[in-house]
Amino acid sequence: MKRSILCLLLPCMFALSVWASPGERPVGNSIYYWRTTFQVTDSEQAFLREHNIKRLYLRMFDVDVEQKEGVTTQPSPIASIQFKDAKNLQQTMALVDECVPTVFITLRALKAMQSDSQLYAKKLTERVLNMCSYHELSDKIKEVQLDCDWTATTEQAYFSFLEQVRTLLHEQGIELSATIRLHQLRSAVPPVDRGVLMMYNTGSFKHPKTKNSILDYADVYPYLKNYKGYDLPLDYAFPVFEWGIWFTDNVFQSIVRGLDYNNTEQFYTEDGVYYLVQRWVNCENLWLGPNDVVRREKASVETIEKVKKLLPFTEQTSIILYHLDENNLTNYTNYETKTLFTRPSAR
Amino acid sequence: MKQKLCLLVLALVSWQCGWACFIFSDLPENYKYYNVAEYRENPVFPRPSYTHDNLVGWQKYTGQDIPLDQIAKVVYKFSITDMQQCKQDPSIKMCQQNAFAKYIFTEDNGYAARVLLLAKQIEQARSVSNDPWYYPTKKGENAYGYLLSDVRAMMQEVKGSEQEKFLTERLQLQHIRVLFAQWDYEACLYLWENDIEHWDETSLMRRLIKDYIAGAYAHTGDMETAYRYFWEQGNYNEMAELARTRGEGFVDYVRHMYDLNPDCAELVAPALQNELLELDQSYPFKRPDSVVYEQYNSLVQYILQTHRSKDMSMWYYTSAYLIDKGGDPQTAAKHIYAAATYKTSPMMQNNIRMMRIYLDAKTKEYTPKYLDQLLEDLKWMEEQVIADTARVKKNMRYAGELEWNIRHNRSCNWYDKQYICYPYLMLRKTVLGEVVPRLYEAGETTLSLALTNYADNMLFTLVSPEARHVFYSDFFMAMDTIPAASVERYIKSVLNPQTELEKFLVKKSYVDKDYLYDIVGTLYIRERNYAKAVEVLSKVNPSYQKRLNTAYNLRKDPFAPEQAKNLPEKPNSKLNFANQMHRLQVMMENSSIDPNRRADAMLDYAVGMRQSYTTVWALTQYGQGYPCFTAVYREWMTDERRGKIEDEYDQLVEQALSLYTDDEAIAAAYLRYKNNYTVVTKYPNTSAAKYVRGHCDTYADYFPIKDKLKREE
Repeated sequence: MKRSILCLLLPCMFALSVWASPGERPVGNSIYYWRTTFQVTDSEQAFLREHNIKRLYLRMFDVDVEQKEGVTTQPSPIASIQFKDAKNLQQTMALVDECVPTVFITLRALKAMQSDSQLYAKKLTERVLNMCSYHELSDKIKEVQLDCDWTATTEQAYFSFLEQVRTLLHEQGIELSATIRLHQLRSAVPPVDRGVLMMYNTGSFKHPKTKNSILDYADVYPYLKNYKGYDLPLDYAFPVFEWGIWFTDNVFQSIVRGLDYNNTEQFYTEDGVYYLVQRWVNCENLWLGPNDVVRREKASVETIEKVKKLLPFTEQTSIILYHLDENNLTNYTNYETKTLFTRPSAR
Repeated sequence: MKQKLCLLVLALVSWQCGWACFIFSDLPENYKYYNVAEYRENPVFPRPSYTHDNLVGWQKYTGQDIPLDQIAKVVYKFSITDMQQCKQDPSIKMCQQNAFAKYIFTEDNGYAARVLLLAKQIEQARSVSNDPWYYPTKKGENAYGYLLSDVRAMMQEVKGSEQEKFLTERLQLQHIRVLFAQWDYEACLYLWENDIEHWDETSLMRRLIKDYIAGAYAHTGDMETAYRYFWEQGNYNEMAELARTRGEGFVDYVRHMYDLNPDCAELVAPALQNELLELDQSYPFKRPDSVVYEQYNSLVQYILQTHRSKDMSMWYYTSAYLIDKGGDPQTAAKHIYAAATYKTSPMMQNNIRMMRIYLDAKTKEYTPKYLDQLLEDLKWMEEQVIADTARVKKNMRYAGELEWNIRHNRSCNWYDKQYICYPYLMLRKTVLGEVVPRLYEAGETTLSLALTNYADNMLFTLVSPEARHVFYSDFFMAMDTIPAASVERYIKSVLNPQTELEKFLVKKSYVDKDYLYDIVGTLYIRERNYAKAVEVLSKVNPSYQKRLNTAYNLRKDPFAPEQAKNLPEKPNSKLNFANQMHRLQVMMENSSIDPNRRADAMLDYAVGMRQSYTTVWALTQYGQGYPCFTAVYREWMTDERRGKIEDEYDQLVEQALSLYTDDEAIAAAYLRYKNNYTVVTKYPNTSAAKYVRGHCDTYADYFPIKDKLKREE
């Protein structure tokens, strides 16, 4: 009798333990995919396997307005992700447990959507879900994320939009998350189910005196020195990318990528951070001139680890890396990547 | 960096010196001068319109003289709901009041109404699928649903009917539209090649379908046919878009256009102009975008070599422009001369001539023969400026707007109808950018000044004399930075021009005598030639200097030490100063005068000389800092010169002090220059020392550091 009661109770207890905490979800290593064409290379797939990536945040499209012949168009999706290789998509998705479609909304699009917020919430939600359905991702979708660098003046519009999107997603049993930037930690909490605190792009890249706009401990510390937590479950996203910031006479020109910094005919450096351009260099149809300066930026593992110590971790906190690109990921050893994914003890 | 410093200095002192902004905020070498078409910000080609033909087609279908606007209302304005309501009940007002609606819903066999309804349904489906937010939920799904099968069914149904051809053609158009929207390009091409292509070429539907077929060829990789079809349809925008989506540049697009039709010059000119102007970026963002220049150059040379265009003038002009930008004006000149041999539009003829004039100035030797040619060229250019000004005045929205634009620094965007400039820009580019520097280098300062004056002031003389910027101009800078004697020679030529060129130039130049003589006099003061300064400044109207906004500075006493005191306002401060300095100079050099008096004179001279460059700078200059966007830029007050002035001052003071033989005299001199400490310590028994002890009761008066005759600024 006792044994049979136990046999009856145990599964119930197990079930209760699973269902006792609504809002909790499996914690796991995660990564963003931010390229416009979905094509995951063999080494990137190996990365997903090696580091046991559970969740893939997939940028589906941006929402922006355009200026055409002096007329501002309606907010619309731009730069939609292209899935040209169905097999590659299938193979990649098989490696992860979950896919989180992500949409980036520009501020000017947000302002334009205010005119009919409900309509655009519906359009955005439908489009995301349609894209997932078309590419047979629906089974992997438990959450959708919106990304927008909202400000005090756009907070109301954004929060209203989020509420409407969340309502529509909840009808499908899907949660809504939003990105949170450091300066927004002090603002009101957005009406979403969880957030991702973006621990990158923390400095002003256009300023010539900025040392590292991707991640600088000195930029982050003021926001987090007294940080005890947020009124929303948060995951943390850390950068694993690099770029160059190009200046002419200390005036910002552009972000540049793909420069061959080791080419001593083109670049001269003493510290591996500031590169003096020696002669005309063409980079994606931009011309860097002699005596221009490129500030090469990358987040070091040491800095990320130092920043992690400022952040509270719970059992539910996931670490997300931005972003999946073998050109950047090869800058980190396996051990370093594992370190990045290691969560400090929950506190 | 130097330019930025100049701008900062300019900004700081401009309110003091009254520098006005100048119409040209850029240097002649940076002027954008490629001009082959009337400027259009967005040179979109007009799309061919088939609306009228379509309406006439429907009118013929009815066999009745139904007004086209009524047909248009049904064909283009009736919604799907309107059509369905009329179909359900043709007796409703909307249907009965429109003759075409009445016909198709009551008199016709019903096919026309169904075809139009189908077309509207397909159009609606297109708007859904064209909605940027639209995305299908599964493969094979699309917004058209059963419309494709409806179209095909209807095509079968109308077979054998009286208007089979008319209706079938329209249905086939809808058929192609749906297939195209579903990305079934192969099906589109199959229908085209096996049926539609063989229709009568004048068929309206065939023309409409051909647009889609061009797109279908592009999507299936047959770019040549795609380009050709778009070309034949007159869809040049689509051609440009096709090039863009293939990652081709505009230069490739022009190549396609030329290969399809060598006489495309006029068609591509506006867009080509925008592209080359875009490349031609001015300071400080110059980039040697040589790859793109090389591509355009290569294309243009290809066109010149194949020589198939009827408008070779435009291509030779373009070649001349590109080769000149590439640094080979000699070859560029050959090409512009070639351009002039071909027939072309009056506008291109003028632009070719202007470029020819500019390239001649760059490449020819300045012989008397060339100067005669230059005179004729300038006369012609002036006529263009006059004509351009009259044209622009007509576009002004209110009286005085043109003058306002000129006065308020509206930069010379000649490609905007509101602003004049292209002929004037080319005149400045030629004269100030090429002729003046070469003449100056050759020592021909009089002619270079005459040309500078003309180029600078001609427009103001024509349009708005009161908007002239006399002290922020190339002409002023040119005068301000050469020897006074050279400027004086120029004035003589202005008052009595000898050659035809001089006579021509002086007519539209600024020749105010007070202005000119005041400048020469100031230059002579700067050169310390006070005798000549007196001679020249005597010709200036006494009240002239009061009109300048530097007049306040001239009220300071140049002979007072330290903070020069303000003098009562007097006219002709410069002349007075020159007189005084000349007198002092004479005294200094006269050894028969008492040495103490000579020493006094020398001290006064030194102080006056120094202060005429510093505290009372208006005696030797018209502002501090330099307007940097003038074609003429020659800095005269260098650090070296400043240093020499200070050295000379020191030497004169030392020399003067060494001349004194009488303690009373030297003590009085020290006292005059407030060297109280030296007076009481070195010459305690003089009346100067007695005065100091009796009157100077401030502790600071006795500081040795204040006691130098040489004051720090």
